[in-house]
Amino acid sequence: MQKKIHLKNRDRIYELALESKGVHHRLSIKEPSMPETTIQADASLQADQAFLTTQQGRFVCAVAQDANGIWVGCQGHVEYFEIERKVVHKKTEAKADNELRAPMTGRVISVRVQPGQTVQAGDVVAILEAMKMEFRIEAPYAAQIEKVTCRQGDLVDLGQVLVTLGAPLVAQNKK
Amino acid sequence: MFKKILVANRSEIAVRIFRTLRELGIQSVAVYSEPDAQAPHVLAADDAVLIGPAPARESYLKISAILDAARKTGAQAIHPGYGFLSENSSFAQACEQAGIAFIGPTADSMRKLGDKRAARETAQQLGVPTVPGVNECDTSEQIRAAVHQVGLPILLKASAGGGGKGMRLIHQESELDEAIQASQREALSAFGDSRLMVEKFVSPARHIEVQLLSDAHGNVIALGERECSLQRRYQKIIEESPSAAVSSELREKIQEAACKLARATGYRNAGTAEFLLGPDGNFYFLEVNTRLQVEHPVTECVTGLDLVRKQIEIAAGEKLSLQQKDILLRGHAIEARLYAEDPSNRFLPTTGKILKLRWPTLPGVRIDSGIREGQEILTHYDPLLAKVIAWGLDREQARQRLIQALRETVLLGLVTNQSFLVQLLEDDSFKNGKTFIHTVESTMWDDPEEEWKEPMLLTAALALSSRTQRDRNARAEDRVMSKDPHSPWESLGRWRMLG
Repeated sequence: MQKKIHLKNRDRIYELALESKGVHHRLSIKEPSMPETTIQADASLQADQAFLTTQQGRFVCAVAQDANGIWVGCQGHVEYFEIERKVVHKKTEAKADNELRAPMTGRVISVRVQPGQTVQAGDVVAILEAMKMEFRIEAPYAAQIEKVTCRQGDLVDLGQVLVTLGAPLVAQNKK
Repeated sequence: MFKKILVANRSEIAVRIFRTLRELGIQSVAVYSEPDAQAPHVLAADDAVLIGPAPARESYLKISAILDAARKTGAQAIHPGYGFLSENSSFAQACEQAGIAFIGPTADSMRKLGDKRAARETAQQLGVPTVPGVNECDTSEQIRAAVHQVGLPILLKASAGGGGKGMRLIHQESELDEAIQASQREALSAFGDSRLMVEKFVSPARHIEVQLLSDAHGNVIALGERECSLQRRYQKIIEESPSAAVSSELREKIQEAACKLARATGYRNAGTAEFLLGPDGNFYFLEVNTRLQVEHPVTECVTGLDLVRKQIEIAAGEKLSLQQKDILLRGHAIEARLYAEDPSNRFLPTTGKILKLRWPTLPGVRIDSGIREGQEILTHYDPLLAKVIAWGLDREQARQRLIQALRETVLLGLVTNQSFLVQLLEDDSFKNGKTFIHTVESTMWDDPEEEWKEPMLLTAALALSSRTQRDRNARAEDRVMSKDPHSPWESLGRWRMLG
């Protein structure tokens, strides 16, 4: 029996097909930016650990699942694989770069801009605080501020949109 | 000796202090904020008192609440740990006035040494070299004038405390306005004091610090040095003792400078004098930390002493039982700080729930941990999760052991700097002892993911497919067992009795 699984890790989506026969497993891996590969391994999964013997060598990996995916730790290296449930028709969801997002969970301590205002590249639009450190959110290019979706004092989550920019402004004298 | 001690702190350092209290047979009291009710430090104490909501200002920094907790539980002394109130002289004074022993220096000597400006002046009077700079900067005009006097590049620092809070490196005049405002805000938010100092930027420099012990009877000894050059955003990540760059001759000189400062100010407690070691072998005094340091375990490993125990004995008025000639440094120890942060996203703090946690048991390895499985890591406090410390007969053995310990550590559920620490320790610059304060930030670190990709993907696929299968079986089983599909038990999922 073959099982198909789609996993997302570091902005890449892997299309996996797993075939198992007892302890023998065969996994084919498809990912748009790399050639299709297949690995074979003898493996067993006991409680929260997988013991693998592949051509590369022997590995012991720890696993833990949460609501959206699975954490795998191997020799001090840890990755999170998010389960992609509706991958087939969905294009990679490109994050719009006109949306300035919170780089971490924290508190907004200052909002420096208002809708309609023009900012230059590098201008600070908002300041976040977490763990007593400040992080400045800067405009990546010159633009007019379209929307401000945070207020001073707000607690924001990682990835939450704080400020939305309009189209990049091109210098007037350039033709 | 005290019969009961309250620890005004949380996480790994509180847990570590409770361990020593248990060893000494002293009763212990924890204080905690609302989200910390089930935190490891609360579980490690004999008694625990809720002192307020999550924000530190309303709990771990709230002097009145902590003193109330001490009175209520009959604690005779308070250990402040590091951070929070540990370098707050008003707190030390409030303890003195309440008749509760503060395990640290007197409020008076804390003011003299803990304030960076005052400490610099004291050092200059004693002939201990300092980095060129200006101490007196309350307003932005004063800061600007100081910058012109010292010359760029400069470092802006909070006068009131350490930990990298409020610190900014400035290369260009144009960065100054923004940096002054941000530093003042950070300093105010972290220490309640917005004063700043301006310092010449020495590069490439090493961070060297001397561990001191001083009792109330004027005895001062030095316990060797630590090197803490590997930092990111001015926060240390890897520390070791001794330093690969310090000869026994240099050690003697730096130790003497540090002891001089402690003697001249009548210092009492464990303490750390921090220095910059320039490329020319000259050292410059930076500041004194009038408290226990995060990285104190490496000194404990090479000296065999328990610094918390010494702090308690000193606060109880006992005389140091050791003299300088009794201090022998044996072998080498390295500490790695495991942080909830993402090295691939500018080391920004991360959050999450610890789903799986397993520490290695290896010879010469010590774990100072403040976390447990099932715990939610939030952004209210410092992102330090635990410290992994390895001792070896020489530096190379300590390094190899630490790498092995980090590789065998299992911590799943949130992004941490675990594999980045391994990468740093394996890097040639660290292996050869060529570590400078800006090594971490000026090096391009490759993404190390690739070699693990295939086995990890296979593991994920195996775990997911076997779980799907198991869940499917479980659901089928539940349907058979449940007679009423609308029963609330139906939506409960699988469960089992424990014990």
